[in-house]
Formats: sequence, structure tokens, C-alpha cells
Amino acid sequence: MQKEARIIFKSDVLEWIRHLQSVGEVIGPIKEERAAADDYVFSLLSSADEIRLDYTHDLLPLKRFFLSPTETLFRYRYQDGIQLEAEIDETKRFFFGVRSCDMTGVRYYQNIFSANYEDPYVLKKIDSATFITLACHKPPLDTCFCICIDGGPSLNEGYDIQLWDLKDRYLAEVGTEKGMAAIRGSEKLFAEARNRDFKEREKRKSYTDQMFKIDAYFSRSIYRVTTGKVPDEVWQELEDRCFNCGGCYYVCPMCYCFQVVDCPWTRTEGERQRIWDSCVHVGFQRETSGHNPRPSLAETIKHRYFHKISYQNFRREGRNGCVGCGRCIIACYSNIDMPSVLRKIRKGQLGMSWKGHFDGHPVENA
Amino acid sequence: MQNIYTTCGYCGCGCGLFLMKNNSRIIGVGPSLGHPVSQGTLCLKGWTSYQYIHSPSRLTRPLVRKDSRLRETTWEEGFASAAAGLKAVKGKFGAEAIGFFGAGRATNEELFLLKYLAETVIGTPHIFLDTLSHSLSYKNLFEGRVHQASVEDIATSDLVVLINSDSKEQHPAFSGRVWIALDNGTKVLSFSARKDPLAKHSENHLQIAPFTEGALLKGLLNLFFSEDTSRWEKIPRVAELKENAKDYTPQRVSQTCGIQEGDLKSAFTLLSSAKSAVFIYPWGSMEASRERALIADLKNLLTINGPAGRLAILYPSCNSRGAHVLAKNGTQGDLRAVKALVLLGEPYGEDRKVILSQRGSLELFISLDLFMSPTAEVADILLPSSSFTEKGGTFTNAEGRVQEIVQAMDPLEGTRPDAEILAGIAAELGAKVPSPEDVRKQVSDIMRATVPRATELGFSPEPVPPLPEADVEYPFVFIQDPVNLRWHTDSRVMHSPVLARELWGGCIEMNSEDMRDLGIREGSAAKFITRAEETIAKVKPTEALKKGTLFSSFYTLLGPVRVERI
Repeated sequence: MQKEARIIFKSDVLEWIRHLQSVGEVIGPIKEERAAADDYVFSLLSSADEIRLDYTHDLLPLKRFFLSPTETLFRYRYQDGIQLEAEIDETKRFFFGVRSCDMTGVRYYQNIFSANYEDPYVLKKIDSATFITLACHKPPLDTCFCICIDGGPSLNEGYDIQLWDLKDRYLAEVGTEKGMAAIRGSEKLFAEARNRDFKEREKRKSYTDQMFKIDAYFSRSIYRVTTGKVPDEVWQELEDRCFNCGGCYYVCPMCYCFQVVDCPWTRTEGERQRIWDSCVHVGFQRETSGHNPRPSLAETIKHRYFHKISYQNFRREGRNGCVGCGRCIIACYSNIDMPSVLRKIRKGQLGMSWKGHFDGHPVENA
Repeated sequence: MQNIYTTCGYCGCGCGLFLMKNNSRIIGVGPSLGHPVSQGTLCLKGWTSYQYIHSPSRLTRPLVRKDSRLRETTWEEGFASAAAGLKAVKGKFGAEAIGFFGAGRATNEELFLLKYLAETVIGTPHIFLDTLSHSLSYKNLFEGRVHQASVEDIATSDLVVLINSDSKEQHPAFSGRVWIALDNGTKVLSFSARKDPLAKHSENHLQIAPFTEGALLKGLLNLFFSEDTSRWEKIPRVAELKENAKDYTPQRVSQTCGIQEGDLKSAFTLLSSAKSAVFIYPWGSMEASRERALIADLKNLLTINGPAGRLAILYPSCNSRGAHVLAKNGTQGDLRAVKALVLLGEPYGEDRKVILSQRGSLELFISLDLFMSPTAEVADILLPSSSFTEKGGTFTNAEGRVQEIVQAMDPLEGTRPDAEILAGIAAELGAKVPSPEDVRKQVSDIMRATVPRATELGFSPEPVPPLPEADVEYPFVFIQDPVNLRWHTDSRVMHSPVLARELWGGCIEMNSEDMRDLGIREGSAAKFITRAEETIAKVKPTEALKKGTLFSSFYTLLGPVRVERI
């Protein structure tokens, strides 16, 4: 079924953003003045013309707006008994120009944080947000492999509005009522989409699909990891290479580990915080007694990949813990990333070349 | 949510990062894809570098010692008592009894001000920047024919030589490039007493006896001189160098270092046939006098090896290199002659031990610190400073890249940036310090000035200290990790929840056969005794060390060690 779709000319987009700014906060990709050329980050727009819809990649996924690196859960005060004051953020926000992979990650967060227990901190923030995504008409970076894992380059569902770049105009597909509401206030800027717009979208879509440079073959690896057919030496080699920086967690849109700490400001006052953490860190797995069920990096890395490509898939959410955004490829010091680990697992052997992805060595076929 | 682009405040790599700011608080950190050093990567310290900023343990009130206890006071009184104390010491012992120490965590501008305060306002020669023993080594290093290696050079070179470098722990931005280069076919030659994971994969690792790096370098020089020597004739004093290296025959060197003669020769072949080589040495992996001699050896080897070789000295703190540049033309002092010490930041490793042991002979100890560190605890006057996110300025990274740090938030309530504190003390002393613009300009002139390239070789002015000889009573030799070591002594990391947890339970590594011989079980603790001190620590078995060697990133033990079961 054809979704409701409109057309907005590029010259009118800023006008639309200005209108959204009058309704709520608009967060979009901008370039910090002093930062290097490739550095784009999602920030609160102070004025609409800061937005850079031609951006490549924000190295941190959108998850930071919903599970922030440091988040205050509640403040406590001891005064005639204990008083607690929770802080739940329900500010209306528009996320403008979101990549498909990030959108997939946010929807996944919604599943995770409502599975066993409804986490109001994350869910309320997602509920009060409207997502205006931007379908990729070419992979923004060479590291992208979303096409292998159904994370993009465009979406069939999950977005509120999905924009397709059709040269001088955007085709805006409306996915939800929230998306419709975002258009309603600026109705005059939009026109009905016509057949030729849809034809052009299809043309772009098939063209985009052919432009990916990395292949990541999940199916064989899922089998090997699930059935325990990966030799221990493979994990040991990963331990030797791993810097224990946690970068692959911090940049992954699908990772959601955190730890909870108390910050006592004074003797009677303080706050409880939730901060980002990673299951790859050996200390993360340590129990109160001091016993550690996974005392080495080899075991924590094994655990992380088992969780991502087997457990999550079969037991939990029915999809792998990867959207193919390729950020782990950039964030890793020593070429440990989803595609290279999959290659390693699939082959299940040692001594395979770790050569980078982009130096004339195409990744072998499965 | 705002994102502020700045430079990391931990090690000398100088990675670029974004600080995430929400409601005037820094809540996170993001990597920078376009930064030339980090290129989208950050290490664990980088990722958590914001966590200590809002720690409840931050010092937020000036403290002055009264009746042997530190008591809270106002800034005015803090400045007044600092100035009064300095005046009193000056009156009693003269200006030369006052010493100044600036740690590498301060910006170039702050260190410049510290130097100004010491030289112009007080008039003392005892100025220590970053370490107690820097200027000599620095002079030895970059006034020669030695070319600075940048982080990009690692990818384009065909040989990387790692001296004592535990690749993953120390300077991740540099060692990450070494791993990638290794994957892409660059040869990696490494020598150290501990076989770290990179050494395991590099195929060209010489596991030498502890502290014999100098002998190995001289052995390589000897092999160079055994070839045709005519091409070095123009270098002054080359004959002297040749004479010095004469005794270091492959046979003797392989014996000293405990390696095969053939391995030494194949290392030499790798080195002499490399078209471009990058040498990497992490500052501070041995005691200062030994290090000075090693730096001279390194310089000589690089000079003889020719322009193909480049050197990267990896400094431990974010602005150690800047401190060394500023110290270069400055005077250098002697801590033993000092009766009052102004300590900006925290010294690490050996320096911390020396300063703490000198504490008893100090009449006045003023400390500018973020946390109640071991040196802050014993201060007479303790002034709370601001962190790298609360001030502006520049850091000079290990390659000499001068990078800006940006003030992302107001100084935490009750703290002040070091520059303001120094200006406050100066004002109480009745002196004026140069304006921030003036300081900035002067610093930028110093940083921009090219280092003169003399062609002299390095000769260590003092004899190389003998190897710490293990004997029957103290049969073990202890080696340390210069950067990781700071994790233990550096109070900042201990106030980041993730890092503190990861660092929990530091241990001393020991060869598993040694452990069996001594009857120490895995995971149990043992007593480690040197002639001067003793410590109790958990023991971890490892195959990366040869028998008779101990390693830790948490403890510093000088001299030979005896291990006892407890």
C-alpha cells in the first residue's frame, strides 16, 4: 500500500524547520565551527540555517538523546525522612535528518526498554520525539554496511516522516500520525506527491543498493556462534588485539549496557545517576564477591558477539544487535569490528589477514 | 544538547573530542572523525575523561593548615597566606629556597605564568616543569639530527621500532596506528623485557633482560660501525662514538641482554635496510638517569642510521611536551636546595616518591590540585583548581602539535583555573602578571620557534647507572609501565566510576614458573620487599615475562626485589 507522501522543495525546508522550532526543540546535524571537515554532530539547533543535511555521519548514534552518557535518575534528600525527586524529560523534540540506521536503533531501544520493565526515562523521551529521517541516496561513508543487516539505506517502517532526496525537492513519506502532525502546521509548504516522484524514488533506491563496499555475511556466523563452533583461539586473538577502550559499545546504536552510581553532593543530598558502560570491560562482569564469571577480554568479547548475533536474534528481539552503521569500524584501534569478526568467525581459523577493508582487498565471499 | 570540540586532558597523544553539554553540565564525550591524531577513536580514558569533572570529591574550597589540620578558608585568605608564607621563606632563606613544579596537566599558558612567577616575581632558579629531570634529556633529543615522527608517519614507514613500549596500554592513538601498519605489512621490531600482545604478533621481538635497552642500542651502533664508516666522517666526534661502541660486540651484547646473537644481527639487518623507520619510546619507563643515557644512545643511533629514521617520544601527560619546550631555555633546579615548594598539579611515578620523601624538609608546601591526591594531603596550603573543560588554553601533544582546549563550562563553583590562582598569589606579593593575551602571544612565539639543528652527537654527561643486579637475597628485577602507572597515582582516574572499577585489584605479574617455585597460588597475595620498602600485592601468573622479572602498572618498586609468600 502506498503511504501518504508529500513533496517539499529544498528551498522551503528551512521555513519548515523554523515552524517546528516554534513547536518544540529541533535537533539536527551541524558542524562545529572549529572541528575538522568530517565532523558532524547532532545538536540542538539555535537557528534553522545551522542544519547540514549534506552531512556524512555523526560518529555517536542518536541513542545518546534517550539514554544519555550520564543521566540523573532521581535526586534524594534526607530531611524529615528520605525525599526522592525523579526527573523525567518529556520535552517535545524533532529529530531532523536522522539516518535510517539510527532510526532502527531507536526503535530497537524502545523494544529493549519496554521488554521486562517499562523504563520511563528512555520511553518518555522517545514518545515525545518526532523522527524525520533522511533516506541515504548513497552510503555516506565507505564503512557503511546497513544493507547486509536490514538497517537501511532506507526504511519501510519506524520513521515518522522519511525524506527522499530528489535533487531539488524532498519526497516526504509520512509513517505515523505524529509525522502528519509535523507537516500539518506548515501545510502550505507541501504539495501532493505525484507518480514521477515515486518513480524517481525507486530509481534512486536501486542505484543506492549497488554502492555498498562492505559485505558482512551474518547467516553462517550466526550458526557457528550459536552452536559453539568457534575455536577459543579466535577469541584469544581478539583479546590480543583489543584495547579495551569500549569504543565499539559507545558508538553502537544497539548497545544499551549501563551502570548505576550514586553521587552524594553533601551528607544529606545527592543524586543517583545512570552512566554508559560496556560489557566488554572485564570489571563490568565482576560480581560483588569479587568473583568474575568472565575474567578475561577473550570471554567478554565472545559474550558480546554471542549476545549480538545469536542470543538477541533467537531469544529476544528477533533481530541481530547490529544496524550496519559501520561506526565500530571507525572507532576501533585495531580492526576489530562487526564485518571483520564475522569473517573471522565464519572461517573459524587463525592467521587470516586482518588487513583493513579499504586497501584493495575486497572482503571474500561466504 | 551542545557539543564542544576540544582536546583530551589525559595523555600526550592529544586526541580530539566533543564534550556533550546539557544544562551547564558535561554529560558525555564523543569522538572526532576528522581529528588528525584520533581519527574517530578514543581510548577508555578518553571516553570517560568527563566523568571526574562533576565528581563530589572535587576540592571546592581553599584549605590552609592550622594546628596540623587542613581547614577551609576563603580565597582571599588562601592567597594571603600563600604570599605570606612565600615571603617568610624568602626572608629566612632567600629567594633561591623557593621551588616551583608545574605538572603536565596544566596548559602552556599556565606553565608560562608559573615560570614567570618563579623567575621574575620570586627570582629562583628551581623550576621543574613536568618532571624533576627534564631539560637535559630534552636538549639531548631535539637539538640533534633527530627528526620528529608524527602519528601519520607510522602508516607510511616500512619499519616501526618499539623500545619498551607496551603497545596497547600506553598511548593508544599511536599504538593503534602500529597495529594497523602491522596488518598492512609494515615490519615491527620491538625490544622490551615483557612480551606484550603486539610483540607476540610482530614476529620481530627481542625479549631482553630488564634495563638493557642501552646496551642493545650500542650493540646496533657497533654493527653499523663494522660496516664502511666513511659516510659518517663529517659528523663531529664520530670517532669518539665509535670508540665508545667498540666494546659492544654482538657477542657481549647478546650476553648482557640475554638474547641470541643471530636475533641481534637480524634486527640490525631490518634496521639498516629500512627506507623509513619510526622509533617509538615512551618517556618514563625507567629511572631518570638511566633514561638520559638511553636518550643519548637513541639519538646517536638515529644520527648514524641516517635521515630514514624518525623518533616519537611519547609523553605521559597531555601537555608534557609543552612543559619540556617551555623548560628548554629555562633554568633547572635542585629539589634538595628548596625549603618551599609550589606544586601545580600532580607529579607521577618516581617524581612523586621523591617529592613526598622531601616533604619533611619543606617549611612551606603549596599545592594546586583538583582532588585530595597524595601530594595534596600533605600540603600546607591547598588551592582547588579547575579541570581542562573549565578553562581555555593550549596543550602541546607528543608530536609537538599545539592544540587548543576550549572552555566548555564555568569553573566548578569554588574552584579557579590555575592561571587565576597564580595571578592571585602574584597580586598578594605585590607583582603584576602579564595579561592573558600577552601570555598567549609569548607562548605561541615559543612554541612556533624552530628548534636549532646542531649536528652534535649525544654523550651522556654522567656514567650510566649499573643494572639493578639481582642477588641471592633479592632475586627479582621490577619493571614498570610508565603511563599505566599514572592510573594508580593519578587521582583523576580514580574519580571516574568506570575507570575506578576497571582498575580495581591491581596486581603484580610474575612468571608462572617462579610462582610455582615460591609456592604462590594464582590470585593470592605476596609480599614484595626491596632494600628500601615493601608492599603487599596480588600476584598474577604470566608467560609474557622471563623468570626473575616482575611487572606492574600499579606499583613502582626501585631496585631488586625479594618475594615472600604470606
